[in-house]
Amino acid sequence: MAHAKGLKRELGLLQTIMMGVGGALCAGVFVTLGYAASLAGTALIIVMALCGVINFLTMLSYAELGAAIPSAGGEYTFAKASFGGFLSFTTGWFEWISNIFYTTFSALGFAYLISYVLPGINVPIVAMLIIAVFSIINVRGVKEMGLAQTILMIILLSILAIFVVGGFLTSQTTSTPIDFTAPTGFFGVIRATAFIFVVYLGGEAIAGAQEEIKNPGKTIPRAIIITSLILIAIYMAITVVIFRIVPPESLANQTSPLAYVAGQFMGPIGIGMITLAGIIASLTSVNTSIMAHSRVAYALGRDGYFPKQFTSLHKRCFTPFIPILAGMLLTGAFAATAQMNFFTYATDFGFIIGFIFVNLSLIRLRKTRPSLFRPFKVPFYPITPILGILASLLLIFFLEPGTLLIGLSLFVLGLVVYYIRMVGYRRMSLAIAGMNIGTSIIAAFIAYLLADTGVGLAISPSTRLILVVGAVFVSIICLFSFILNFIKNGDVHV
Amino acid sequence: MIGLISKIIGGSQCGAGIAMSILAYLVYSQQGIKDALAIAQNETSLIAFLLLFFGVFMIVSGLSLALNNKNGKTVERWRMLKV
Repeated sequence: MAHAKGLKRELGLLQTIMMGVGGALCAGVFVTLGYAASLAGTALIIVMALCGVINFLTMLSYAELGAAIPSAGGEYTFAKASFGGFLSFTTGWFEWISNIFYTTFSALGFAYLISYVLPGINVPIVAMLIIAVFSIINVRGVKEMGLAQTILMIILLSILAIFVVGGFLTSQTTSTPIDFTAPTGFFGVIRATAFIFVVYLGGEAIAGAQEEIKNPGKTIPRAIIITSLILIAIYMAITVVIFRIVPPESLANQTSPLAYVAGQFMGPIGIGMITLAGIIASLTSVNTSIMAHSRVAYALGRDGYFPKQFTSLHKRCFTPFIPILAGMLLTGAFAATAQMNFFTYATDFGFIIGFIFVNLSLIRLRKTRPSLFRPFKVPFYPITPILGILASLLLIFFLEPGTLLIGLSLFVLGLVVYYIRMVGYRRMSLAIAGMNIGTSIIAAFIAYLLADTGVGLAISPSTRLILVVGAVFVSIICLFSFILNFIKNGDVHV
Repeated sequence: MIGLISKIIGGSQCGAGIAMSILAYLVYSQQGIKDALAIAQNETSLIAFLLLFFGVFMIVSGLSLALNNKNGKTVERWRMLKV
C-alpha cells in the first residue's frame, strides 16, 4: 500500500483559505464569548481586534517562511531549516501534540453540541465516531478533504452571514450604547485577550499542508493573509452584533452565548441555526487538525524522529495514511476521557509555543540565509517578528497557571520521546532490561501481599485469586523480558 | 529460537500492558472498581497514573522485544537514526 513518491499538490487558493478559516472557526467561538464578555465587557470588540493583530503579526512570518520553504510539516520544517537538532524536534513535537489535542477538543465539542440536540447520547463514542469518519476522508485524499472542507465552510459562513446581517438590520437592539468599557479594567482586557485568543488558533494548518498547495510561492502568503483578515472581520462583526442586541452582563451564564443572542432577534430558528453552525465549525476543525497532525508526523518520520513507516504514502490516494490512522487511534483514546478543559489548555500552550518558534526561525533564517529566495517578505523586519514573540510570551504569562504545568509536562514527554529515538540501541536495551527486573520484583511483592493478607481489599476470594495470578504473570513475564533484553544486548556488536 | 521466545514474551508483555492501561482507565472512571480495590478518592489519580505508566512501559518493552529480533539476530535500527 505504500508509495515512494511525494505528496501531490492539489489544493488551490480557495481550498487553502477554507482550510485556514475552518481550522480557526471552532466550537470555542460559540461557547467562550460569555466568559470573555464578563472580563472585557463591550471592550471585547477591541479585544477581538487586538487578538487579530497579534495573530496577524505571526501569520506574516508563516507567510514568508511557507512561501520560501513549502515542505510538509509547517513550523517543524521552518525550525529544522533554521535551528535543526533538538529545537526543531521540540517545535515539531509541540505542533504534532497540539494538533492531536485540537482534534480531540473539536471532536468532543461536536459531541457536546450534538448532546444539546439529542440528550442522552454517549459523548465520547460520538467524538470517536466523528474522528474515525474524518480520518477516513483524510486518507481518501487531500482533494476530498479540501472538498469536504469547502462545502462545510460555505454552509458555515452563510449561517454566520445571516446572523451578522440580521443583527445589523434588526430593530430589537439594547437600549445602552456600545461604549467600549471593561468592567475589570485593563488587566481584564489582557486576560480576556489571552482567554479568547484560542479562537484565532488553527489557521496555521495551512503551513502543515504546504507541500500539497499549488503554486506555493504565491498561494501560501495570499491564503495566510486573507485567512487572517477574514477571521478578524468575522469575529469583530459577530461581537458588534452581540453588543448591539444584548448587554455584556447578560451573556455571562449562557451555555451558548451566540445561540442566546440569535434567539433574541430570530427566535427558535436562530438558536437552531447557530447550533448547526457550531456543529459544522467543530467538524471543519476536526478535518483540518487531522490533516495538520498527520503532515507534521509525516515530516518527523521523514527525518527519523518518528518511525519511518510514517512516511509511507497510500498507493492510490497519495496520503500519509499511517500517521492519519495512528493519530485516529490516539485521538480516539483521548476522546474517551472527555477531559475538555485539559485539551483546551494543552492546545493553547502548544500552538503559542509554535508561534514563538516560527518568529525565531524567521529572524535566524534572515541572518543565516539572506540569499534564500523569498517570494514574500515580512514588512518592517525585525520589528514585526519581535512583536510577535513578545505578544506570544504575554499570552502565555496570562494563561491559567495549570496551562504552564501541562506545557511543562508535554515538554518532558517530548524529551523522553527524543531520548528514546536518539539514544544508542545498547543503552536503550539495558534501560529496558533494568526497568523490567524492577517491575518484576514489585509485581512479585504485590502478589505476595495479596496472597498473604489480601491488604484489606473488599473483594471475593476468586477475584483475589485472579489478581494474584495476574501479578505473578506480570512478574514472570518481566523477569523473562529482563533476561532476553540482557542476552540480546550481549549479542549486539555496535 | 531466541527470536521466537522474544516474540512470545514480547507479545505477552504487550497484552499485559494493554490490560494494565485498561485497568488504569477503569480505576480512574469507575467508582465500583475504586470501592472494590479500596482506593481513596484523593489517591485515584496517583494509582491510575502508576498503572498507566507501568502499562505503557510494558507495551514499549514488549514491542521492543517482539519487533527488534529476526531469527535471533538484533536488527540495528536505532543506529540509523542519526539526524
